[in-house]
Amino acid sequence: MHPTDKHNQAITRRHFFGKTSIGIGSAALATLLNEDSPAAEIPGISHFAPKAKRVIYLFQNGAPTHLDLFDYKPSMNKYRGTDLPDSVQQGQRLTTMTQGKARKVLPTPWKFRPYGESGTYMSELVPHMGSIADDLCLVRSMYSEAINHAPAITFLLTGSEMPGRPSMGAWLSYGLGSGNEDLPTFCAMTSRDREASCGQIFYEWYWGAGFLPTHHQGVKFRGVGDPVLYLSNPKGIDRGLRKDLLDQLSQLNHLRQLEVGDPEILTRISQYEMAYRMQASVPELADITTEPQHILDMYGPDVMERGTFSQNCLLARRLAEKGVRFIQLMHAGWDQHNNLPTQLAVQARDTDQPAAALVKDLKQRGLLDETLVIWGGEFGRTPFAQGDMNNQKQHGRDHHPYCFSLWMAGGGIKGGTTYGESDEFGYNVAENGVHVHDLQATILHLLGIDHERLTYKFQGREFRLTDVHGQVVKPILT
Amino acid sequence: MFDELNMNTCRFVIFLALNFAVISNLCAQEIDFNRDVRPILSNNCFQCHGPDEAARQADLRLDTAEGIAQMRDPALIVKGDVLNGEFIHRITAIDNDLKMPPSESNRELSDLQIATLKRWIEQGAEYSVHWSFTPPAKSDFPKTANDRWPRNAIDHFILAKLEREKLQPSHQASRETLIRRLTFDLTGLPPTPQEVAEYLADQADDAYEKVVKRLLSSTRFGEHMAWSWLEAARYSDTNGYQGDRTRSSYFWRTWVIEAFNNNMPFDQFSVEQIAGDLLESPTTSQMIATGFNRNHPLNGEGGRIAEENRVEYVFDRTETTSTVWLGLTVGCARCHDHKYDPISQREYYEMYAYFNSIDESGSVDAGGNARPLIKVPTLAQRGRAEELEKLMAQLEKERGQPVETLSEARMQWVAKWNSAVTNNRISGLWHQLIPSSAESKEGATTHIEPHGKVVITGKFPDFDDYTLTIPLHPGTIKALRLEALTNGNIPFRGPGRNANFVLTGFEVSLLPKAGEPTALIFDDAIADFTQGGFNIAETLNPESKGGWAVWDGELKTAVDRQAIFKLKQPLEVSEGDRLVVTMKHRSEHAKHILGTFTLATSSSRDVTFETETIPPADILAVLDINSEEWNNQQATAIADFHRRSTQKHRDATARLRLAQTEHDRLKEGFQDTMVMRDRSQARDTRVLVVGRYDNPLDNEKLFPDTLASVAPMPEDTPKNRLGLAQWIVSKNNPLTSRVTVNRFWQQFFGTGLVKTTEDFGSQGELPSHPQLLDWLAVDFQHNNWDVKRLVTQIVSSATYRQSSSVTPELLERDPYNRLLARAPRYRLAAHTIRDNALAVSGLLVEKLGGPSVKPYQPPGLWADFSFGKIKYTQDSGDALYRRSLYTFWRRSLSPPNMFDEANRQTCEVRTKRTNTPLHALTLLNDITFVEAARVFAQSLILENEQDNDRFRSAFQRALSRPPTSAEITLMNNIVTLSRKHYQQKPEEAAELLSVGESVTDKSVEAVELAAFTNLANIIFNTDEFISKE
Repeated sequence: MHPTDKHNQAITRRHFFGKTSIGIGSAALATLLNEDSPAAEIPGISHFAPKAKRVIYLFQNGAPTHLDLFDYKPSMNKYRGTDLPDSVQQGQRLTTMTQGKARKVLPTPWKFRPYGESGTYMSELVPHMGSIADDLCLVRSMYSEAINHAPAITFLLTGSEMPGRPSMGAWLSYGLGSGNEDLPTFCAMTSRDREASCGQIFYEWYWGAGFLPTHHQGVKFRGVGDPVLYLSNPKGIDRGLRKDLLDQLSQLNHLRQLEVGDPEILTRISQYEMAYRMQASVPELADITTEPQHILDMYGPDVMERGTFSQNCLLARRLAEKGVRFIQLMHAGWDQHNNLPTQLAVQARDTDQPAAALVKDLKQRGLLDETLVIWGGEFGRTPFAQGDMNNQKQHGRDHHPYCFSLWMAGGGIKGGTTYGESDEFGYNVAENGVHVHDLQATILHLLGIDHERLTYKFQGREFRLTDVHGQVVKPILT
Repeated sequence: MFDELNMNTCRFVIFLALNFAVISNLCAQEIDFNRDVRPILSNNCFQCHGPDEAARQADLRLDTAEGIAQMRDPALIVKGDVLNGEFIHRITAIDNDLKMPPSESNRELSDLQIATLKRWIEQGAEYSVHWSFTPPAKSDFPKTANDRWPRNAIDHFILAKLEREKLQPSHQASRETLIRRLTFDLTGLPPTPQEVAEYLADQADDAYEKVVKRLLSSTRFGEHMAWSWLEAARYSDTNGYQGDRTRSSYFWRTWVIEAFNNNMPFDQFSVEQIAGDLLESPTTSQMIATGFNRNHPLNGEGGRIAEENRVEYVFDRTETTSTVWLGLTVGCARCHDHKYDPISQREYYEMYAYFNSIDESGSVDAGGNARPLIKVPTLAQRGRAEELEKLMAQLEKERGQPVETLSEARMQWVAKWNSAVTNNRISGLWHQLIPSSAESKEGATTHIEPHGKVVITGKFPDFDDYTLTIPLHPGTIKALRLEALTNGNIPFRGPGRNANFVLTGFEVSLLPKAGEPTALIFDDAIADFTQGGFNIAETLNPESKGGWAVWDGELKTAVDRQAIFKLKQPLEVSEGDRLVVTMKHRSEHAKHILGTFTLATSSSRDVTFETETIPPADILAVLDINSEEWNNQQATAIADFHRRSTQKHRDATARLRLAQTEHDRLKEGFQDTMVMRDRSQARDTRVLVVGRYDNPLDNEKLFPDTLASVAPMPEDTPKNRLGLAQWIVSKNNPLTSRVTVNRFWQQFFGTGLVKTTEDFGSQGELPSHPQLLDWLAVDFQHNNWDVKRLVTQIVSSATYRQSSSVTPELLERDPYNRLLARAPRYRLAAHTIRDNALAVSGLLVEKLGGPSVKPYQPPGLWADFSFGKIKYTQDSGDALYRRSLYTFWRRSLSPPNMFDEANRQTCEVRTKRTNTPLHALTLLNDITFVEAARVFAQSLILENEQDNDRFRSAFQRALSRPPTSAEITLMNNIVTLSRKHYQQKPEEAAELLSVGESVTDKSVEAVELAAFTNLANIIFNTDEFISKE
């Protein structure tokens, strides 16, 4: 590149960043000017040596039941069918689906057993997760504020129940910049349970940039059609021809740049170059046929089917290898209001093996230490039955934000541990509660970011992922 | 207002951190509190020492002069003394325990900021109210050395600042650039080559002005201007949240387009949208306007708590209205007093109270919509509906004409009846009957009005018989009349209970005072109108299912009709005799039953449909009295009766019923649209702790009120949303006009004079040209909030007409172009890029307003997001090529090719403009653009023989200018390499040409068309094509 161009490009980037954000600190600017700079060197934002370089969030939309998967409560058996004591329920608000109805205690019908050297109790429904028990930190004291799916998911991913704020991945893209030249910084993938038993749809804002510049938003890797929207050339234009045409386009744009002097044109030229690279890198990434059979087998029987959680887990590993910063998988299902006995096992089967495989696969490649993997939903489910206690075909559990479980593994997390405890009904947190904002603060911390200092000024206020809350959960960190 | 300084330079220098010597030099000037000091205090101190009472530390307040003066021992600030005073000690303290701001706040004052604060104290530590809360005033134009450049007010202010910065404005842009820029800015579409040629050829002095005028009068103007307003109003075709159902809000969108096109004054534009429903007798249009505050998302999720949602909607309206009109972030005061601006939490909820009494449930309770709603005609129906509404209003007025205006005719009428009665000339006329009872066999409810009219309501069986008993006066009866009457109070307005009726039997018998009833025999039955296929004579045949029906197939059922039944033998009535009339409805048509009717008798067989009816007894009784002796009640009774008996009234009523019926039928096709409408009983408003719907702070009820620190309430304003709207546009409100002109400015220059369009508070950015902003704000207000006039001022300025070319020096000096030493150059919005490609290719289909359309979209997108529950059914034909404004907007998943547009979740008033590879992929590969390229290519080929002419035409049409020779060479490369490629692989040419639904002209050779399609595709991807220069 000609030195003048290089100079122009530097200005372009400053110019570009300045135009699209308000009062940015020198920190984010530094990442733009020097994409390779490790997080630790970014002044102002990074205060800790990062323990993780990236995050894979295996988000389980619909709210998996903690009581049947992770939070073993044999004490509930003796209360079967009795009313949940008011002293436990404490008049907290419930959804309109169970408000004012009977609340009969429903112990889990599944067996739990200790797994691994750590002896962590988990349900028979998730044996594969059990097999990685010694890599996990199982948090049994999560709690949230929202009682319905979309607000709760939005809260967990953006820090606010109302849409409009940047999602976690967007914050990381903004704060840390890209780790890869040919792929987006933040990728999202979705899948759903086979029976489509749950009504939750995916919203763009789950991986949106909110008020941050839109290039921080997650790029959706799709399960149908082009893996990225508009990635494929139109029929009748092959890659060679596209290259030739883009070369001419680049020259046309250069001519205009000379004429009008706008450095934004140079940015445009480089974005077209990256688009062209993505046209190769994304399909290459999505092509899992190059994976050896024993790896494919790890991820379970659905792995060759596009759009499944299984294949998405494998793709997540491939994205992680390429340095993508935030990989957000969203698997919808889990919303067992009236089909717990029949549906839960199906959903566990769809997700258990692939999630565990991902952790194992990362580990065998030495990537787990620098990759934070999180598995969990937006809240838990009630210890009391929704519907007829004795009608096993048609009962289930309602939404429950006051206590739920999730697990984390990898980069900076103490494996083989559990954290926090719920009360004897798994209804409220009994010890070491982890609020959603605490989880967010901890994730940022693991990436070397002080959640109180990663801010963006919008509408007169410094916004941050954790609003004005959040405590890093130090005991679970290595 | 403060003086303009080198503030921006100062900022840029700081930002780029180039040279500290420059800073100290530049800023060693007079300190202005609002410009220099308030931002430092606001950002670093107000959070704990600002307006928020609850969060205030040490009882110290730094945002008001009183707050500072309050602290005396030790004195906080000693004016003019930088060495003493607690304030200066604390901000310069080295000891961490004393230092302010404290380290845990993550805030730190820079050396420069401390220096500024010191200088402020040195100069007397003067306070002033935050700039945007003071009334704007027009200042004189500043003096400039160059007196030839300015064309209007704008330029004086811009130039003065440039000169202070030792900068010169850029030369005027070329005419080609100007007309392209203007056409995009005023219509959102490119100029045609003819329009460019005409402008280039027009040597008149006002050639430019003529173009401006032409563009402003185009209906495309409103379509273009509507876009940003839709974004601010979070307009969407769906509700968001789970299910994300479709609503019908597009009427509001059409309203906005038309308001801009009709140049509705901005104050009216505001009042109608905020409170159109509260205006006196609001029109449908004014009701539709209130859809502005119904554009927020609606949550239809299972398990949601409706009241929680409803409260969210009220928050949204409060905050959106404040952002859009006031440029204030009142949302901060939802949970606590505002940290930076003088807005208390209590005031927030007083604003909230304006929006808290909408007659809504919090549920999605009307299809995809939520109440309150009104029914609105579609565009196709609208003309006729409006005509009818106007006609109906006029006829109502005619019918309700005040009685005084009829006095002369009335006196003649009184005289006529007087003489008729006195001279016993009333035999042979119709004598109205007043039944003593009326019964429905099937149990419908019957009402007998004082003058004998019978109205049937209540239970509506398929078939029914009525039996009426009627007292008679002694005398002779030779004929009976049945009048089937229309009735505005029953559905379909009669005369049947469901418009038409079939009377199958009309049986009458005499019930003497003593003795057995005798059936009467009719030998003739006639009607003024009988529906084809029916025969009124059949009413006399008890076996027949036929009879009298009145449908005439042309919406004319709703007129009064008469049937006359003549007796075979005259009937002599004695004192105490009664008639029993049975009316049967036993046809083959269910629900065809008479609803409103009256009966009369005559002593003559020679009666006709024109024969007059004798006024009823009570009226005659009054007529007997000398009119000069009537009391008021009598006079009114006569006047009222007379008015209703006039031909004019009867005609007006008949026409009214017709109009109403037609309107009813039209209305069946009307669509719901959501509007604002208050409940009769206001909801209680209380402060909600951290905005939780179920957690009121205390029991104190709050009432609607505005923000005291912004402006006083104008006198005589109602305590409802209308009052709020009037306050917003009142002449004392310092914010609305500033915020509004700033938003329009942003639309033309890419950045507002105040960059933070959404925040004019303490944390917002200061205006780059405060005096210009104020001048424009005052001028706008003084000129009737005339939007087209403001737009004309902006685009006529020399500032606007500058070239956007930039030198490296100027770029270094003013990278964000806040000084405007050049025109802005930036990427067009994604929706404009699409419209541009459609227009240039000739595919664009222009049709104003109406429901949204579903153009191309990658398959499976919606289904993928919604588990197949919501599927995208792509339109075809014209709908594929409408302007992007009409593209269906799904809130949960916006149209995928519209990158960087507002998310339509919440109000957004500032434009985002990024540059990513995903945009490149969209423009290169989206069917929309590939098809447009093919269609463009085809016309280039068909209209030009030679390649070079095609290249020239391509540039002229796409970029409004001829290509340079270097550009022609590159175009030639594209075509040559593509030809070569497709000659080898003709099947690929065919594939490329198959993209898109429009048909190709088979006379154009495929390889050639494919090659030029590639050329067009690349032109559509040039930076110039997608930019405004």
